[in-house]
Amino acid sequence: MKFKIFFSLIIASITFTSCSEDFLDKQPEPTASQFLANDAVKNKEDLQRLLISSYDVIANTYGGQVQNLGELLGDNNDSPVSQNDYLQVFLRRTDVFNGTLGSVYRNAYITIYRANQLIIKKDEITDISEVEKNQLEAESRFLRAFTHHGILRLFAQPAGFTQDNSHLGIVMRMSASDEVGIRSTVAECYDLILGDLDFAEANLPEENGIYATKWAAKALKARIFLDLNDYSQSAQLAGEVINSNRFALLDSLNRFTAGPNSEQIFATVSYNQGGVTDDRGGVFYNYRSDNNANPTMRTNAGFYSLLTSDTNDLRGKQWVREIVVGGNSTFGVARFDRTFMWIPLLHLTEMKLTSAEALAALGTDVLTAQNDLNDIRNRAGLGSLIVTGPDLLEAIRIERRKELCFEGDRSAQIKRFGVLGQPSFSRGAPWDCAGMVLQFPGQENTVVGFILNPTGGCN
Amino acid sequence: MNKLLKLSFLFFCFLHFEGIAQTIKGVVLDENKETMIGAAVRVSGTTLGTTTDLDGQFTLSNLTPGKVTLEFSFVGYEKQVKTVNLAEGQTLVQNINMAANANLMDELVVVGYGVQRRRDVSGSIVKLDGKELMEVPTPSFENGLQGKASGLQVITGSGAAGSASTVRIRGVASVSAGGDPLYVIDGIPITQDYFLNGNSQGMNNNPLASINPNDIESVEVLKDAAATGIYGSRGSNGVILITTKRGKNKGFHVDFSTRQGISTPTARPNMMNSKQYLQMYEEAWVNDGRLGVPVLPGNISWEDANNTDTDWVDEVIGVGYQQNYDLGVSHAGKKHNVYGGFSRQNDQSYMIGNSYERTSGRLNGDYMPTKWAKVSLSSSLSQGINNRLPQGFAGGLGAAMSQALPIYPIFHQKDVLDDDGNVINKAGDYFFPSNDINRNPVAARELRTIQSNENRSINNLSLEFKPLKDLIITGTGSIDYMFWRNNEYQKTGYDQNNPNFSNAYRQSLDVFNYNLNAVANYLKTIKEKHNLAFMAGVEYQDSRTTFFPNQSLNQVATGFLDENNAEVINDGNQRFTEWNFLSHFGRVNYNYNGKYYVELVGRRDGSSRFGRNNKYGFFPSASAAWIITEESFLKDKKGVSFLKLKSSIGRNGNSNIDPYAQYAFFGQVNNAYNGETIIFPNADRPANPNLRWETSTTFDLAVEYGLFNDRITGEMAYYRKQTNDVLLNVATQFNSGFGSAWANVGGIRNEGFEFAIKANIIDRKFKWSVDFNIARNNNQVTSLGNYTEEAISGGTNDTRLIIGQPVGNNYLVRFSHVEAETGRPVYLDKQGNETYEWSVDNRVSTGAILPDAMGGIRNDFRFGRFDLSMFWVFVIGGDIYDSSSKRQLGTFDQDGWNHRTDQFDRWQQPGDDATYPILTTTPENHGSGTPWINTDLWLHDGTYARLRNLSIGYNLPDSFLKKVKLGTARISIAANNLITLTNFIGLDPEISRDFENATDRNMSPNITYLTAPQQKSFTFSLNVGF
Repeated sequence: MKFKIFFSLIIASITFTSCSEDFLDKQPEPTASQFLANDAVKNKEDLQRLLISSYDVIANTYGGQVQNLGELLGDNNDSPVSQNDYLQVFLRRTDVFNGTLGSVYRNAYITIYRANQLIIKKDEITDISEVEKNQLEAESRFLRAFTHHGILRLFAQPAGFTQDNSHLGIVMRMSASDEVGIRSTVAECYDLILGDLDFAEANLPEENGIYATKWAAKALKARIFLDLNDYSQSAQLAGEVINSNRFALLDSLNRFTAGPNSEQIFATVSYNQGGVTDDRGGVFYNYRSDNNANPTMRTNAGFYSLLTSDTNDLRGKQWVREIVVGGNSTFGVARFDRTFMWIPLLHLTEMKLTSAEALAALGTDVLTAQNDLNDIRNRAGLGSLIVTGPDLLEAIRIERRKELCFEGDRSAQIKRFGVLGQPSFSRGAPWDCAGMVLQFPGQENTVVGFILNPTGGCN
Repeated sequence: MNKLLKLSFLFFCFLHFEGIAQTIKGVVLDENKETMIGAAVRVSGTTLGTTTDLDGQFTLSNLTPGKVTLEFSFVGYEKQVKTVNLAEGQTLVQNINMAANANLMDELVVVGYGVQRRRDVSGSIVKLDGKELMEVPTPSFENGLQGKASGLQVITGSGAAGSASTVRIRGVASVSAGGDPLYVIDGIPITQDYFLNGNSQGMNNNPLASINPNDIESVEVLKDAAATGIYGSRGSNGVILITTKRGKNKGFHVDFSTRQGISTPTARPNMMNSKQYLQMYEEAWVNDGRLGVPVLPGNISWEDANNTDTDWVDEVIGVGYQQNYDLGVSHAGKKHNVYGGFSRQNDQSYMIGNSYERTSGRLNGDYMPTKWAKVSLSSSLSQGINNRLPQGFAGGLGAAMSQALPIYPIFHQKDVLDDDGNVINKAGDYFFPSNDINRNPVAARELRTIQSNENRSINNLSLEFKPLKDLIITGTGSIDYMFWRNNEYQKTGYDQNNPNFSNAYRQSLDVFNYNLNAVANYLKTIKEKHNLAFMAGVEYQDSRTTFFPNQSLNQVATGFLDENNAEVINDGNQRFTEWNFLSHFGRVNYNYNGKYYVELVGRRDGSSRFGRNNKYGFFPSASAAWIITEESFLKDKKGVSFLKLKSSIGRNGNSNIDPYAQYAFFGQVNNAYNGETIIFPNADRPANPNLRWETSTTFDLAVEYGLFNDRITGEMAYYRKQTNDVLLNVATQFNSGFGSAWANVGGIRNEGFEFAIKANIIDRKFKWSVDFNIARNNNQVTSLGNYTEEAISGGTNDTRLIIGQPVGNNYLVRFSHVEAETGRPVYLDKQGNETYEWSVDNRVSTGAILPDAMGGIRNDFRFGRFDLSMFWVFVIGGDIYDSSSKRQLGTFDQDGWNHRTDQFDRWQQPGDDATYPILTTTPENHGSGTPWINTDLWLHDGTYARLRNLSIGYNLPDSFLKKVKLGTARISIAANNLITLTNFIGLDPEISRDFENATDRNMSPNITYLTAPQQKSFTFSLNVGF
């Protein structure tokens, strides 16, 4: 009898355990902060939230993270202190292990992946109009272009390095796929980036709160055409932005304000409302020398004297300071001595300087070029300069170096001048030496087929 | 005397036969005079036989008069043969005393879901007595396995109390899935995740540390597919079966033992003192052509630096104290046995403030209400309190070996004023160089307390029924519950951003792991010679982990977090994970006349960890054995007393990965950007619904031998294990939008030899025995799919997977020499040409984590009541990467690390033949853009031999014991890790640093990074029993 009972029990338990497939489906429980990807985007609101997540990453990577790299390759800065990843960039000896580069690079493609996801997901949602879809796509493509361009500037030799731009650029991720990423040529990169921006320009609204507008797309295109030394397109687009009269130069020298200002064409937001404080000033604060005798980021003696040589130049007074420790002088930066700021990523000052340079180089509208230059000079406490020809071009370029210092622009200009055939060096290194281009993170090289940048050659 | 009595008793019985029919009856007793239940009694040459009943009695009737030969047998006991003359009509009383089998071949070995006689085992299993684990005071029981079994590699983590060990059986076959063996205690696979709380403070929590080694009766190490096959998808890295103590002997027994000891580190860091540091720093400064007074780290003035000399190593280490108390009580009767144990251990390591306290209790019992039923319970409750100190990079002794410079004082020497004359720091306040408390490990220790507390209970209840003579059905339910909590208290002054704050933090989690199984065993003997055993079973295991919300109390804490305080902030972030297994398994054993053995095992596992398409896997194995000494041509041959040839082949798997590795997630953050809520795809990994088991196919060929009447015994084995579909958490191209991905990629082969010998060299009044084992493993990555060597890296440690090279290859730039004229370091490029430039492009495979060979040798001497035991462990070959020396022996940067005195051997002037290059403050002079560079200059041969244990014991004489009414008493003294022979220039050649994840743990156990050396200890022990 007992034998029968136990055999039945055993058979019952085996049968029971065999037939329940779901038994082995242990899906993670959704929490407020994490849920399964499959059904994450259900409606228009989710799409909007997904879109803002891309802006969020941009704000995290453009709080100085990208800009500092552009400066460290250039000639405005001194050797960074106690930040070995930065030191590598400064010494132009970057390698695949540079974690700071890795993080900037990775975040860029996270932005791009999110933008690409949005482009797919928008078609899976029904409660949304075509116009709304187009705007979502336009914003996504603007962010994708902005990010691709930021990486292209740092990780590839500039346009013009080879005549047909057949040299290697970066991986262009134009869709969310699991294909192996292979570097496109620089020519292809610019085509794709400009393609995105054309779409963005056509489909973005003129007003969009703190988010990307038609004007942002135009301003970015103006910047890119200057990188390409395409003065006429650059002058045209920068002019459209300036003449829209939506933006105005500030009286103050500080465009890193704690809120919106009239110069911003596209800026990242630090938020302080309802008890939430979210400062995206990021690593710009590495420059702060008011509360730190030993700042990580500092300027060099040469640039310090360029800013301070004219005692009227307010930038020399407000943006830098000398630090003396144990009889040794170093030069600190005062421009970011604050705790809460919005970061202007595209602004009117840049457009004015871009337009001025393009117009001066073209020789088509010297007067506007002079006026734009002098607007900037006068604000900095300097007198107007009435020069023409190469002198005007040179004056505009010096002004650009001063005015956009520490904003990440400098190394791109050094390279551009080199492409134009001028002798162009950054702290003694030729503009086109291999080390002037950052090395990709080692993770890019995890699959067969990816080509790393050459290294060295700058010392 | 005893014998005489017995004889006369027998004689008496002879005289008083009752003369009805020819009957023999009697009682079978064990060596303790306890009756034995179920012993077999057989009449030789007939089919007549019986087994003893619950009182140990047997009766054989209807026997033929004349000479009758009786065979008494019981598993684990020597067979007894008794020939008697049976007169017609006689009823003979024949009691018999069985003796436990001294023959190793007949001892019982625990196999998965059952036991077998050693001689019948066709798989590769090493059995270790629980006592062996107790010989050496170790931070955790698994550490006691070191050197005891061939092919079992155990690397002690560090000298920290409660430290985990890296345990590998027959090499490394996994990469991103856990490479540790499966631990099974009394039948339940226990929670053993080292990464439950991640790598916190440079120290992984060791869930095995709360298990009381004194509870362990025996440990079986299952190595080949035949042995581990029954664990299917979880057996590929071997299985460690732990059996806890039960009441064995009739009556009431009490054992008490205590151990007291002191400990110091096996090696002391040779850091520079202030004068040495300043001299070297200045030399670097001058070499770089820099002028003026050198700018020192931490904004310390040269003058202050000159007047300070803090020996931070002295400040953080002292003499450790270990104490251990164990009490065991057992009782066994006719129908029951009970064992109760209570134990307390406090291991204060040599690092001041670091200790592990364990308190544990156990209750094991069996009850047999009838002949056909048995109820068994095993239950333990333990608490482990770990007073943690940050390790390695996170501080403590690690800080004393790195960022705590000798020029930093512990306390401010004078008042510090600000520009307005206000006192910022008073003399006697802690000094924080660069506002970084981690540069002052004394302040960090005194101002912060971290304690983790693990409560754990492992319980089994099983019911065994014997519905038929040869059928046993067992149902078992087990629960392994663990509650873990980490408390941190920061006193005022700790938080540099808010010096007036005192803070408390708490993390908690629990793991509820249960297991249900039903197993049927059926034995059948056909025509005496064909012995068959069948086993079939079903098992379900489910493990649920809850990560409770983190709690914090800022500003006003007065000790560990008080939940009742209204200001406690709860981050609301509760997480829950669950995984399960559903398995069916079976085993068939056949042997012909105890000579030829065949075993077939199969297990089908289903697991929630894998995608729907690959949820189930089937894992078969087959083995065969031939006991050659049973053949007539070898039988009773002098010299060879036992010879067994065995071989197995089988497939098993590994599934020890993140339970949700197959899924991808979206995240949501409120108030994320511009006050808006965002959702986004998590960038850590994409989904992989095709994720499947990692599988290993293992072939094993072995010989077991016994020579000269088993005075020499041992085993020789060859194995080859090919692992495919290796579970890799590969680094993906960042441009994919993800950082990593789980994939089944690639292959790994392990191949090796093992040799073990045990010899009783002298066996007289003076006894000397030797136990030696050695194993060699050859490990090779056979495939990596489309991935390059950058795809898998062992954490921060520059180990890689490279095809044709061992798992965990040190992938480094080669350092050639220091140029005699300039003092510059000269490296080799990939082609082997000399270059000044250090470039990551020139990395090549330079070293391997796995040793060429390893083993242990043990000598036991016994003379009268004294015994002496000496146990050495050794490792031959394999490399150690002394990772922190890239800073301790590298450039003098402003970031400020102290250097080791080894660096005195540096280049100073042209013509110098130096080990280390010219001193500098900038990496450019060493050909690099970054100051901390990995080269094979820091890679060292890891060969070592260590006197793990040296002990002398004395058993007190019976005469004395009688006086004090004790059964047994023993005192012993021991020294552990007393001598280490090695050429390694770092601290301790036995290292396994903190780990980031399983990949790191599999690929980088040979990296040392400020790792605290092992404890060297001296202990006194007392064991008494009555």
